Amino acid sequence: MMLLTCPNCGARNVSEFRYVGEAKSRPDPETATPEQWRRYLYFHRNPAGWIKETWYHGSGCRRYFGIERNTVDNAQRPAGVTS
Amino acid sequence: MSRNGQRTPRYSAWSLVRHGLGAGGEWGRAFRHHTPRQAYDVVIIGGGVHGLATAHYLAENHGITNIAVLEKSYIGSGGSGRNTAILRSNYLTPEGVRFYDRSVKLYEHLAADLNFNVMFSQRGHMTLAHNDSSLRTMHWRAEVNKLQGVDSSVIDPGEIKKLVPYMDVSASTRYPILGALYHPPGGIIRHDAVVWGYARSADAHGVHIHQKTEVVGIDVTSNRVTGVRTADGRRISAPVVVNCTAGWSTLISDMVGVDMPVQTFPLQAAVTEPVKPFLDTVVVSGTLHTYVSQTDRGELVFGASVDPFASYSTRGSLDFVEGLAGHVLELMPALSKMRLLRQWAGLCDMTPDYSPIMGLTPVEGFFVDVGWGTYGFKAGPVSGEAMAACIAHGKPPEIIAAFGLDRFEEGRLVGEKGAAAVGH
Amino acid sequence: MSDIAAAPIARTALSFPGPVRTTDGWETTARHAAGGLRLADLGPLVKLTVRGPADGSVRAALGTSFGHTVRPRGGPLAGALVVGSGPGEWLVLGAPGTGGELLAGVRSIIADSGEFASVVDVTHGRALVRLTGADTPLLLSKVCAVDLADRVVPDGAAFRSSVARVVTDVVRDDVDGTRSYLLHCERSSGQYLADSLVDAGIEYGIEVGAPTEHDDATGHPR
Ligand SMILES: Cc1cc2nc3c(=O)[nH]c(=O)nc-3n(C[C@H](O)[C@H](O)[C@H](O)COP(=O)(O)OP(=O)(O)OC[C@H]3O[C@@H](n4cnc5c(N)ncnc54)[C@H](O)[C@@H]3O)c2cc1C
Ligand SMILES: [Zn+2]
Repeated sequence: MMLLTCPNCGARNVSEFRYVGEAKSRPDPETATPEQWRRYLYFHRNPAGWIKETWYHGSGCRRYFGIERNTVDNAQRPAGVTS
Repeated sequence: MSRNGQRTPRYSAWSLVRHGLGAGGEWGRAFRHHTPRQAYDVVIIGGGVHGLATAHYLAENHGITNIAVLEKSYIGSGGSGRNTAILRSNYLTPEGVRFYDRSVKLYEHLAADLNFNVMFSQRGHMTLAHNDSSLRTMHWRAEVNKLQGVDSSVIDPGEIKKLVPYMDVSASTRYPILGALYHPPGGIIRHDAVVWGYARSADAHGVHIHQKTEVVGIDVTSNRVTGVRTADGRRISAPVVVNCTAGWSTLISDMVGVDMPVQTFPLQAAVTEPVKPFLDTVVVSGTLHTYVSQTDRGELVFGASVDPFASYSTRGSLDFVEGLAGHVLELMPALSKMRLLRQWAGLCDMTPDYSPIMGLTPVEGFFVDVGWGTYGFKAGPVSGEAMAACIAHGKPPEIIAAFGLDRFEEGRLVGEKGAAAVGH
Repeated sequence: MSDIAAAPIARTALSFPGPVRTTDGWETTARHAAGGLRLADLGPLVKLTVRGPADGSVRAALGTSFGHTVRPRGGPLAGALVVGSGPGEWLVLGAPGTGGELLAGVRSIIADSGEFASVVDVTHGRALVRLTGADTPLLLSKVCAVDLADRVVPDGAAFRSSVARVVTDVVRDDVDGTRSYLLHCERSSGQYLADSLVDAGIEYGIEVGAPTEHDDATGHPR
């Protein structure tokens, strides 16, 4: 079982978490065009390597947190400055 | 045994007997090894069913044979050699049903067309409904299918029990079976044979298949593709480059700066020890996130939905087998003593609407045939045929017109999640 | 209290075969567990959840933080067990029938703090059991992936994790030097959790019963 390290609870089975996805900034819904909004919804960088992403610890502290994960081997490190 | 310049020998019952008696010498290689040329008319990246079928139909239907298929590993090493080989056309949208139906039709005579036994077994495909809303979706799919001339109907638990006697259709289960979408033309195939058959045919037409040749860059001048660069330091010129790399497809598109709405998720499958034949149809349960079929060798092949997070890792997980075992036993309690032999994973290029991305891109000469997710093996023939036409005529044929890359920004999604998330 | 006791008004989340008894207005199993590994239904205990800033004056007044527990000796929560169940989240367990007092106690703490905080009585919405015996770590290791060694989860520590796939607050609260854990989860998952624990404990001779008169409100010996 893959372990994921929650900043609050420590290393836990990955099945305790929900994957939210790559951390990205949302365009302002007031001013975004439909095209911009769809780009935000549908497009992903999908890199093979380190990615900054958001997870939710549903079976533990029930907090969202940022982490950096290498998508090739699933190695992790704490998120640097998560915005 | 070199066959350079020779006709590819035909396989037949007679040649089998001859070789069996030791009279034919060694079987020849199904496709040859070549030194890469400096230039090709078409470079196809990815030696899976999509890349090889595209090469085959470019040669067969359009007479374009100066083609290279570049494969970083060996052919069929991606999803094409890892899938659970389910073929069907009982999708949800008219665009999808028409498209996959054409593929099933091509598969029906593929063995004869390729002179290669692909072992297509149309044993029927059954998608179970465990609640009212999925029963409603099954009726919806059955009606859409019928309108497109595809054989699909909703059957009741009594009929299910007749087709699959080992299934627990009693009302006392945790997820009682209320009915199923039954699709007689669906079935399973020998996936490796399809890959090898297309490779052999493409090779016979003069297509070069270069294994262990990884593309690391694509050259673009004035928004026009001019060629590719490989890991062993070669530059190969080509006015047309086709991205057929499924799980790796965003990495290739990144090389030309084309963004794609694709995320790569692992998908796992598992197989049991072989037992006597008892399961004639393919059985899928979306609610239980599982499906099962029995191969000609007697093994049960199990699959599920994709892993819960994006990754390029093909490592199996205990979580998957645990969940799978629980769900399978819910359907067929009699399997509790069966032993799993293997589990494995492949990479799936998931799109937001569970439909593929095919055709032209903003970069001239750069074509995509990706977004095959968990369901793309069945689409190999029709995609090869359509992509070949698209490349030859510079414009997507009608059958793939709905699957263009531009649909995402324009908001014209072709939602197939209801028909493709579990039953691939 | 005795008039209420005569006519039970509440049932805990758990039911077990065998006789039942009524105490403090609650119907629970009347079975008595005597063996070396025991599961006790503590459903009647008062359960309050408190939320507020993880590091403010509410925290200071409650006296503990995420991952730890405390039994206040005086003050408005005297006699209760305060569990730091999450970052900025607490669980207060108290004797049956003390809900009003404890609720008032926490409300005064919140009022005094001036912080944005809340308290909710979830007594009837949750299940609570106590698992006691030297073999509890072995039993729990079958259904929970967290390492229960002293180094990781010493006496008095708390965490939330998946126990038999149910999200559960686990509190280590040893009894006279014997390993003991409180397990707290949503009411609707309670019976399933208890059954899973009993199933996992069969090989260690688990017995199910009510707390004895020797136990205090939180099932801890007096
Ligand atoms: C477990 C599992 C079960 C599945 N079950 C089914 C099913 O039952 N039915 C169904 O229809 N579909 C199923 N699928 C999906 C199906 O396997 C895929 O959609 C299909 O095989 C995609 O084929 P492809 O030719 O596009 O890609 P692939 O077969 O993945 O081929 C892509 C190739 O590109 C190569 N490549 C990548 N990067 C480079 C590079 N830089 N240079 C050169 N080459 C490169 C790879 O090595 C790979 O061989 C399943 C998939 C999996 C993983
Ligand atoms: Zn956590």
